[in-house]
Amino acid sequence: MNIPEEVLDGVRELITIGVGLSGGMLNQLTNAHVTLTVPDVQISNVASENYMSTVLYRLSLDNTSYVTLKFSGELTGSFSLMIPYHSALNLVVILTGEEGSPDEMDALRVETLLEVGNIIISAVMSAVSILLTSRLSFEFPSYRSEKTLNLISPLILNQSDVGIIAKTHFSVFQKEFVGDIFMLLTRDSYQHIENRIFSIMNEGL
Amino acid sequence: MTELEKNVKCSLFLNTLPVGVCIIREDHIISSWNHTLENWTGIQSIDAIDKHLENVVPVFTDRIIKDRVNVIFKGGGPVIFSSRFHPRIFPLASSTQNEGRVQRVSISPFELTDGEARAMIVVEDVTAITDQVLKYRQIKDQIKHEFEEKKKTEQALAVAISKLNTLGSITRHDLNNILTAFLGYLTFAQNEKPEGKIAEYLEKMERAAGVMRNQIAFAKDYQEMGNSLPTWFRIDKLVNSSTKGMGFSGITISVDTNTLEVLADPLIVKAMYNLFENAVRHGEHTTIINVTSKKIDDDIVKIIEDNGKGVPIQNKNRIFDRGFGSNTGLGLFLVREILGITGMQIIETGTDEKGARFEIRVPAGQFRCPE
Repeated sequence: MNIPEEVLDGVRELITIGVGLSGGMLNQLTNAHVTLTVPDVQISNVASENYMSTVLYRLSLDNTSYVTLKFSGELTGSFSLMIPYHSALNLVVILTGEEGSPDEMDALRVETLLEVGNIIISAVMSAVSILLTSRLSFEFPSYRSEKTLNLISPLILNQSDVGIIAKTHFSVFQKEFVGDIFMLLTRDSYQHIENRIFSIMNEGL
Repeated sequence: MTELEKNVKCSLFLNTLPVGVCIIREDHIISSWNHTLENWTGIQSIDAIDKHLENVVPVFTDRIIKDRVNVIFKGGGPVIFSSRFHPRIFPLASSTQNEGRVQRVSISPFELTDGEARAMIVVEDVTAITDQVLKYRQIKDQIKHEFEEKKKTEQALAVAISKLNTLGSITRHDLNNILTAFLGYLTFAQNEKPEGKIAEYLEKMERAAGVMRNQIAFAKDYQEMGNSLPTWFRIDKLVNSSTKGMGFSGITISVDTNTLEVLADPLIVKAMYNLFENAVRHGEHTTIINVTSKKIDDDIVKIIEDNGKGVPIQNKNRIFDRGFGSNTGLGLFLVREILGITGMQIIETGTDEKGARFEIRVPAGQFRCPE
C-alpha cells in the first residue's frame, strides 16, 4: 500500500497532538508526571502479507489489555489502546498509587484503565475530528484482555481495511510503559482522511 | 408528535431508569434530569433544567472535568469518569449519605434529528461492587500471605524431617552395631556353659536384646510412613504380589475386587503382606483366604477373611495396640497407621475358632474402579 508522505506526516501530527493533550489531562488527574510520546506511526492495509504478525508482533505473544472505541459516520472503524496485560496492570497501580504488587486486573482496575484509555482515545479522536465535516456516532468504550490477534480479528470489517498503528511510550515516575494506539478504518474512511489532509494542505482549514 | 410531546415521552422513559441521567446541550445547559438523580441529589428537575451544569453540579467547574466534557462536543466520543479518580461527582442530598458512596459517571454524545448535539450523563452507584472488589482483594492478599507462610513452614518442616530421619537412621545404625557386639559377647558367654542364676540371666538378656532389635525395626518402619506421596494400588495385583512367597504354599487365595484401586501410602504393600502373613501364622490351620469388597454408602469396604483359628474374643480390642503380639513383622498397629494415612480404617469382625475377618473401610475419593 502506497501511503503519501504528507498523509503519514498529517496522521502522525494529529495523533501527537491528541496524545500530548491526553498526557496533560493524565498529569492533572493523577498528580503523577506522565509523559506520552509517539515515536513511530505506520499505516498499512490489514490484508497485506503478515501484517498481523509483523506490525503487531510484539503484542501477540502475551495477553494484551485493550480499550476500544468503535465509531461510524464520516469515518467508520475502531480505535484501540493496547497495552500488554502486565504493563497495563502496573500502569494502573502506579497511576493510582496502590501499594503492593497486585497480579490481577480486577473490576476496579479495569474501570481505571478504561478511564485512562478513554482520555487518550478521546483526545486523539478530538484531534482527528478537525478533518471531519460532521459528527460521528460512537459506541461506548469497552475493555477486553486477550491475545492481540484474537482481539483484532473481530474488529476487522473488511480485508480492505486500513490499520494505523502508533507505538506509544508512557513515562510515569521514571517508569516506562510501551503500548500501541491502533486505529482501524474502512478503506473509504482512510481515503476520506487522505483526501481531507490534501484538501487542508491546499486550501487550509 | 410535537417537540413538547417528545420531551415528555423522553422524560417519562428516563424516569424509569435505575441510574441517574442528566442530558446537557452543547452550551452545558441541562435539558433533562431524571427521578433517580432527584432522589440521590435532592435537587428537583425543576431546579436543574435550563440551568448551567456547573451551577447545579459544582464539580463540573473543575478544570480536569471541564476539559474532558469539552472533548465530547469536539468529536472525542464518550467520556468515562472512574470511581477511583472521581469517587463522587454528583454529591448526595445530605453529607451523611455521601459517606462511603462511590459513583461511576459516563457521558455519551448524541445528536438530535435537528442536528443539535447533546450529551447524556449517566451516574451509577457502584458502592456495592467496589466494596465487594475491595473485600476480594483483602481476602486474596490474606490467602497469598497465608500461602507464603505455609510454604515457609513446609520448607522448615522438610528440613526438620530430613534432619530427624538422618538422626534416626544414624542412631539405629549405631544401636544395631552395638547390639550385634552385645549379642556376640552374649553368645560367647553362653558358650561357656554357665549354670544356675547366670544362665537364667543370660537368657533374659538375650530375650531383652531381641525385643530391642524389634523396637529398632519398628522405629525404622514407622519413620518411613508418610514419607512418600500416596499412589494408586490395584487390589488384585497387590494381593498377588504380597502372597508370592514360600509362606503361602498350600493356601488358596481368591480375589474378587474387579478393577478396584485404592489411594494409599506405598507401605501398603508391607501392610497387606502382614495381614496375609498373620492369617497363615496365627490362623494355624488356614487353607483359604478370600479378598472381596462391597459398597457401603459412598465408601468401599475391602474384606480379607480366612478359615483359620480366628482372633480370640478377649484379644479383639487389643490386636491393633502397639506392642501387642509376638513382635514379628510390622504388627497390626503399624498396619492401621499405614492405612490411616489416606483415611482408611481397619477393624476385625471374624469369629473365634472360625477365622479372622478384617474389614478395611476406604472413604469416598480414596478409591476408584477404572473401566
